[in-house]
Amino acid sequence: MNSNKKNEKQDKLATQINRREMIGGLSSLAIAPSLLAANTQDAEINPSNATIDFSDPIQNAAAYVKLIGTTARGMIHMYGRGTIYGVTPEGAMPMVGHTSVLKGVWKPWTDNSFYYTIYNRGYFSDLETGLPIEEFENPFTGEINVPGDIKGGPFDRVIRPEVRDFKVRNDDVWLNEDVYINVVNKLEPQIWTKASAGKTLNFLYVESYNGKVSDLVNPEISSAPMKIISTHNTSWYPFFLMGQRPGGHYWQSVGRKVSNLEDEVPAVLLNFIEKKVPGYFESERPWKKRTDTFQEYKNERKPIKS
Amino acid sequence: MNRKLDLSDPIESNEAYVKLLGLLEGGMVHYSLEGKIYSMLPKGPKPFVGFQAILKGVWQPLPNNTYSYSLFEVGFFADLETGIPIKKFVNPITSAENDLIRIKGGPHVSVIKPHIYSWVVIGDDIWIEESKTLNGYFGSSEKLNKNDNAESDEEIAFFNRIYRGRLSELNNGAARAFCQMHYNYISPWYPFFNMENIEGKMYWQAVGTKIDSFSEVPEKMQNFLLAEHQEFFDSEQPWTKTTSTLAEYRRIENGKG
Repeated sequence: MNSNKKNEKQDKLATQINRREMIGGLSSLAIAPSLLAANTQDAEINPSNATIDFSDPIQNAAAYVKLIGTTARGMIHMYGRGTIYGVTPEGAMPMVGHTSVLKGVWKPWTDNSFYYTIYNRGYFSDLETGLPIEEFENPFTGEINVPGDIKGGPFDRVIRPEVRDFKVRNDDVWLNEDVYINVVNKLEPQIWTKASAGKTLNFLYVESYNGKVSDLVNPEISSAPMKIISTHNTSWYPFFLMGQRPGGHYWQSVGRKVSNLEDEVPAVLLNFIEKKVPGYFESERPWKKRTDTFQEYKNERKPIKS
Repeated sequence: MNRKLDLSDPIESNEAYVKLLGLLEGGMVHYSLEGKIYSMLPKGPKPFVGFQAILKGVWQPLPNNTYSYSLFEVGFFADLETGIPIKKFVNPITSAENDLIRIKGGPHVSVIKPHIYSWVVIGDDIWIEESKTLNGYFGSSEKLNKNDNAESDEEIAFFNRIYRGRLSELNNGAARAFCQMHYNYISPWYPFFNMENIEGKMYWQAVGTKIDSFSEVPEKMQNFLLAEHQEFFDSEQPWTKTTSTLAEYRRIENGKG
């Protein structure tokens, strides 16, 4: 795709949603959770308006929820963008960009717990321009790959009282959270010879959340501003068509909890999502059937012979 | 005094870079990092061992809007649960006890010239990422001592660092700015873990910030520095000969430790 065509595409996407309409529409929905009145969980976080006792499982869990989601019933959105690198024994190279808006739908649960459901929607992007792409050249194979869209969720999780290892320095607070799993691949390697990385898939997700202690102790705030940096070391995505080639990809993303969609999320991405899933930003249930990158690939593609 | 930096201008983009990562007027900048190393095995990844490090950058403005900095690092491997520095480590993969060494590196000197960096700006949030593939020999000194062709055993490592700050601070008149550093490094097994021919690699992940004083250094690192590197924090040249954690290990292996 040449640069003129890319610019045309950007202009087209940027004008699909009128930015003025968005000020009163989408962004007001995104702001709402952080302005909601404190609930009983907030009072328990900071009864004396002093500091949080992170060694207390209940306070710790509520601080965690306030940081990554909301202690009130409601939605939060997280914007992120980054690069996927291929890492092989021969070397590492950037392969494709990505950007998305993750939606978390939160509600207080029983026994000082919280329940939330996440969805994610976005696109893979050109490494130079950041614009959506339909295909790109894989730097390892020289082949043209067709990535499809980013679509994940709904995934449900319950946050229970426990002591998480928050790091505090002055008013800054950090939390690193890791998830590491090895699961059966939905794409059988005998059938999906080029798309399947093997019988099992490895995932290591490390999320670094950063916020302010003063926000977490503030009983007027149910959803604190939060910055996130994520890194995922995983088996090859199927659309890379790397087969069982040694290595995997390193996925990194920088983002934040969004307080105002119009100001903090590029219009190109907002328009892309709104076009693909009308009502995504307003809906607490933008789709019903659970999916992920591997399932989407299996649903939409046919095996390619090597 | 505030002035809006033009990040599309090579000189001002460079100025923003130096201010975010280092110090415009020259001097020392420290980062305190805490993180984990994960083992990346065919059967799946797992937390392996913790680590903490202090990075020291000694910055110097040069003529023609150019800057140089020398980077030093010291640190320790740590118990995953307690964060306490360890020298003995029961390797969860081999079940053997490993003798670990300390983390030490530098001085590595870089010169920063006017350049348009690939900044990402969202509101007051600004960040930049840097990545590099490294080729080298990550094994013990045994092969090097035998004059074998260690080049044939070269392996690759990959680092990705993200530096994140506030645009308003880069635009104000101060010489330094807050910076959060996200450190990611994928490497072959380091030789002191004695992994022999076990297939896999290590993923080092840490987060830290620029710190203004020794009092901001985490307690365990303070104790470590006071016990083992008393001069490190205050010195602009804690040592002169370039080294690395691998080089230190080989030096100790060769009985020069």
